Amino acid sequence: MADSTGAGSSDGNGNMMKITVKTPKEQHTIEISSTATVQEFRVRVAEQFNQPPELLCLIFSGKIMKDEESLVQHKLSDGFVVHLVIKSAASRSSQQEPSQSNVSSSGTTSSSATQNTTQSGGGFGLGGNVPNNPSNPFAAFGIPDLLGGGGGGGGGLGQMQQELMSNPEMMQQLMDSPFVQGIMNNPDIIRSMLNANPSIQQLLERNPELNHVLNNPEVLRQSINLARNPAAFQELMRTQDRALSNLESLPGGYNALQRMYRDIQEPMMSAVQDRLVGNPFAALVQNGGQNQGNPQQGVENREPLPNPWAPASANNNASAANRPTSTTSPGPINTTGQNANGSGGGPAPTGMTGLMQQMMQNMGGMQNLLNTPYTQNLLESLLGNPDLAHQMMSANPLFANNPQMQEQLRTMTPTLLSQLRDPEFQQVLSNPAALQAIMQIQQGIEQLRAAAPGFADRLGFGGMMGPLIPPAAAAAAAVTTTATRPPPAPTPGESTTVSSTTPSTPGPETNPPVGGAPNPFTGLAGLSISDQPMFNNLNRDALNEFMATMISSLAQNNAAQGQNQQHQQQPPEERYRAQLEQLTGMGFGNREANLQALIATFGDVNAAVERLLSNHNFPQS
Amino acid sequence: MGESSQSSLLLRKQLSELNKNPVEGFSAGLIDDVDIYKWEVLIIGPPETLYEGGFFKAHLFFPKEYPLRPPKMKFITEIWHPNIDKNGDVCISILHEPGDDKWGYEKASERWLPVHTVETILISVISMLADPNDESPANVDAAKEWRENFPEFKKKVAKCIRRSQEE
Repeated sequence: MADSTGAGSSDGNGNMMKITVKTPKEQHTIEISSTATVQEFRVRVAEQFNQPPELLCLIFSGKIMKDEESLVQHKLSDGFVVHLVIKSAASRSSQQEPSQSNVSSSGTTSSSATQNTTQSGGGFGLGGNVPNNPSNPFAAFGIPDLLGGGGGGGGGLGQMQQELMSNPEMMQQLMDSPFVQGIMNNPDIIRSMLNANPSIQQLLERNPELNHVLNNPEVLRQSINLARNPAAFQELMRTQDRALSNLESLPGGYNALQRMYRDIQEPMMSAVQDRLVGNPFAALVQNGGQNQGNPQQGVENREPLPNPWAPASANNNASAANRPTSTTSPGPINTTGQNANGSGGGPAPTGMTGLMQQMMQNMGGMQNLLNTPYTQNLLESLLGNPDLAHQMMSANPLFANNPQMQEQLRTMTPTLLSQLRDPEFQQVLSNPAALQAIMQIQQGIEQLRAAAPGFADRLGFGGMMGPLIPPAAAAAAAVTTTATRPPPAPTPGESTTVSSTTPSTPGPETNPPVGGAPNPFTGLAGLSISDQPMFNNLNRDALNEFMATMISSLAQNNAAQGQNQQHQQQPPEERYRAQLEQLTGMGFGNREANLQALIATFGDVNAAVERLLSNHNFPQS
Repeated sequence: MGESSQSSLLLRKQLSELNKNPVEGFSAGLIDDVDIYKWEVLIIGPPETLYEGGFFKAHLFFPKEYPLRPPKMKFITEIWHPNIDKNGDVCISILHEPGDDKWGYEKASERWLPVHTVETILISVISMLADPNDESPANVDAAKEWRENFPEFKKKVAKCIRRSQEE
């Protein structure tokens, strides 16, 4: 029995026990000596719940716990749950009115909690049928960020989701593309993607229990598969809702739902909401206030995202015709394509044009894109390892049979890469006037091609463009020419001439690097580009594969940096040798099981230990 | 100590489950640790009802024949409610002996069934607090007041709540 004065006696001779204290809204587990008094317990509970101790009413086993009693008297033991009612401070003055909320456990909150739970599903990739639901699993998994970054024109999470949700066909296409498949089949990439995301990191820090969700490739894969199959997704949503409402009607089910909401939904949601506000990509997208041309940074977008990779109907001209009339300000542009969110068949600005337009409207966004950790990481890893870039390109079927092109690639890669980070180039991208000029040049080329196709072909645009245009606009042109490689370009080799020729363009503003400028976007915007008419004459599969390889090697390299350079190529035994030894050192004797656990957890020893332990106890997985 | 009959086993199981996973709205334990048939429960006045803020103590007395026969439930804390008589006895159909339709209102299916547990009983009682049934009043005065003089009814309930908080 503890001494009744309390202070410091909780470390007495009793065993520590874990007591869960719960209100209808939240619960905390408190570790306390079994000999503690109720008063000590109350103080601890008050700390956890951030409430003054005198407002707490602790109830256990049908009794209100009084300060002078001990926990022993109440026969509390480890694992028990104590009810907590927090009296509202206001109730002291208004006790006359019974309907006044004397207790803070108000029914409104609990019922709205249920609503949320039902609406958004479990948060494990089961929820998110509501398009703008911030708890969408993909949002939480950071996937839209990848896609947004990939689109070059980017997408705020909300838009991306809305777009994808309202256009299941597109989602499916997207998911079925070799590019995405390549990524999705490689858990390492997803993992590094997630780990690179500060918001996810925060989320995990605050909610270690989510760790295993993200570390579980099965969950990720399931979410992805769901996304690929709209029918399954919808069906799942239906059963999910039904199951939830069934759950609710079960005794205790309501509690479980609440717990679920509290433990999973809320942290996820708040994390995702935080991200929406701070999301660098959010600014890339026009929002509802498009026509006012409002700066949209930091504002949650509600409009669907411009669809840079919707099946393009080769409407370069159409979108160019809609280009802004104002030359200086990033004015509002409203191409039909950009608003075509549902059909997938609707006219969309062809990749680069659309991208440019978006860039023009979103200078800040562009800046953000260039400054995002993703982009920076990609560039850095490319810079730090030119061989990688070269390997990537030469390993690709698209270039494999073209030694000449490979040679060109090799020589220009380093310059190209360093140029990407050239502040000047970045400035160009964020300079409305420059972009405007680029747009005009591009349009001019289109017109020229339309008016005199033969002539245009002979000029070869790509190679010839630089010299043809006045130096003042050359910097811009360099970007554009690459972007608008003319469809008639006979071989893939043609496209490289652009970058290799441009550097020789004279003029102060046309420093060679600019030639490489579009490449970050080709790299990132694999999907959009593969749908562009200019690539129509290329083997699309080859291109897709190229993109997949490129992105995945980038991601692999990113993930592997500082750990294990040849990560991917090695068999798991080699790759995880150090971790395996660690596990053996910890006393996990079953090498095969250790290896499996490491593979499943991408070499994360802690997660592997968790997995091994849980497998041991519950041999179901 | 209760013998290890079916009834005491069932009740012990419920008790330990309620200790570890209590149900929102009430807390349940034994009046005296050696008697598994006598329970003490504390009902937290359901939010958004007249009874919000109150802590109502009640006792449950289980027969040895449980679960074939229902327990009796009695409020210890004074409570003003149409379905709780002035002695605190709860009049709720699921606690009525099977087949003994002494109030003449209920079908057999509404009366005691062996599937009921402390938890289901209390959930019924809590929902009764929120939503009185004035067709079979146990406290006729309260029922009348509830129907005809609601402000007065509210005042009486408020008084109960105040007292319950002082306990």
